[in-house]
Amino acid sequence: MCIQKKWKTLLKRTSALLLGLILVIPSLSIAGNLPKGIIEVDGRSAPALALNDIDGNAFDLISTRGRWVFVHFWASWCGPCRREMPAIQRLDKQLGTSGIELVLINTAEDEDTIFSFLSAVAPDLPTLMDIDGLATEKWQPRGLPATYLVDPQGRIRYQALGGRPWDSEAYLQFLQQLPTATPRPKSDTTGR
Amino acid sequence: MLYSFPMIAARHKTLPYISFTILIVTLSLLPTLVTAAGKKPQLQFDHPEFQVRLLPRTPDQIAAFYEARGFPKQAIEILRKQCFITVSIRNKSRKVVWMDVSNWKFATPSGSLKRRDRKHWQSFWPTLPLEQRFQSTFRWTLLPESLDFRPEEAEGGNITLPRVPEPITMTAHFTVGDGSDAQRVPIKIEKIRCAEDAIP
Repeated sequence: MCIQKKWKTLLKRTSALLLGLILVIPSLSIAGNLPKGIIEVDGRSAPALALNDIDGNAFDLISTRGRWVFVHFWASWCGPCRREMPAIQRLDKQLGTSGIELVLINTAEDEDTIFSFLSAVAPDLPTLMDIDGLATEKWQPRGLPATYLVDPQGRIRYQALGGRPWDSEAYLQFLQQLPTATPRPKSDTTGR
Repeated sequence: MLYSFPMIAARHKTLPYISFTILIVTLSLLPTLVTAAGKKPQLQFDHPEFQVRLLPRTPDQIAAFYEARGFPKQAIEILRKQCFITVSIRNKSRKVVWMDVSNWKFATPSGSLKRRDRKHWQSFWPTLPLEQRFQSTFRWTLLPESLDFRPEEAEGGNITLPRVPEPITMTAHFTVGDGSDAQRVPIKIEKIRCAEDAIP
C-alpha cells in the first residue's frame, strides 16, 4: 500500500515536470536558437504605420493588436528584396491560420512600378504603399529589405538582417512558434 | 668539358621536349599575365573580422539606375557629376563591428576631399526641388552614416564625393567588439578612381 502511494506521488511529480518542460521548451528554443540573421530587439513600441494598400484600402497597424505581425519593408530596385519576395509569398501560404499576419510595405515607389513588380514576382501578395517613404523612415531600418516581428502588444521583438529564406524549415518553425511562446522580458539588446 | 657524340645526340633528343614544355607553360600562364596587367586594382580591405570593398560607378550606371526609378532629368544631371562609390561591408566575425562614416577621410595628392553626406543631400534636394519619394529612394541607396554590423551581417550603399581625376586615398577606422574588448582597426584603401564612362 505504501509502495503504491509512493509510485502515485512519483508519477504525479514526473507528469508535472514533463508538463512544465513542454510549456517551457518553445520559449527556450526561440530565445536560444534563433535562425541565422534574426536578432532579438529591445521590445520598443512599433512606430505608427497607417497606409493604403495598392487597391486603396486603408490599414493601421493598431488594428493588429492581439496578433503577431511580420512587418516587411521592400523596394523593387533592391536586389535582395527581389530574391526574397518569392519566399515570402510561399511563407504566406504556409503560415495559413497560424495567427501571424504578414504586412508588406513598399518604400517610395509608384503604383505602376509596384504593380508590375509584384505581378511578375509574387502575384498573390498585397502590399501597402509608403509613397513618400516617410513611414519607412520612422522604423529606422538598417537597410532594405527590412523585416520586423511585432508582438501582440505592438512591441518590436525581433528583426531580420537582410533577406532571409523565410519558407525554409528553420524560419518557418521559428515563426510558427511565436504565437505560443511566452514573451521574454525586456533585454538590453538594442536594434538600430 | 668534352661531350661525346652520344651525349650531344641525347641532349638534342630531349631539347624539343624541353622547348615544348616551356611553350606550353608560357601559353598557360599568358592569360593570367595579361589579366594581371590589365586588371583594375582591388579596392578592398581584408581583416580577419570584416571586409570592406569599394566599387566606383560610372555616370552612365548611376544615370541608368535613377532614370529607371523615374528621377527627373535635372536630378540625373546633378548625379552624373558626382563620384559614386558603392561600398560593401561584411562582418565575418561573431562580434559586432562598428562603422561610423564620419571618421572616413578621403584625400587626393592635391588635398582632402569632402564627402557629400546625407545632410548635404537633405539640404540640397529641396532647392531643386526633388519630390519627397525620390529623396527617400536616394537616401536608401546611400550607405548608412553609422551601423553596428551584427555577426555575419553584410550591408552596403553608395557614398558620394566630388568628381576628381586624381587617385583618392581613403582612411578610416572600424571598431570590432564591445566594451573593454573593443579593438580599433584602422583601414586604408589607395588608388581609388572615380569611374568614367566607356568611350564609344
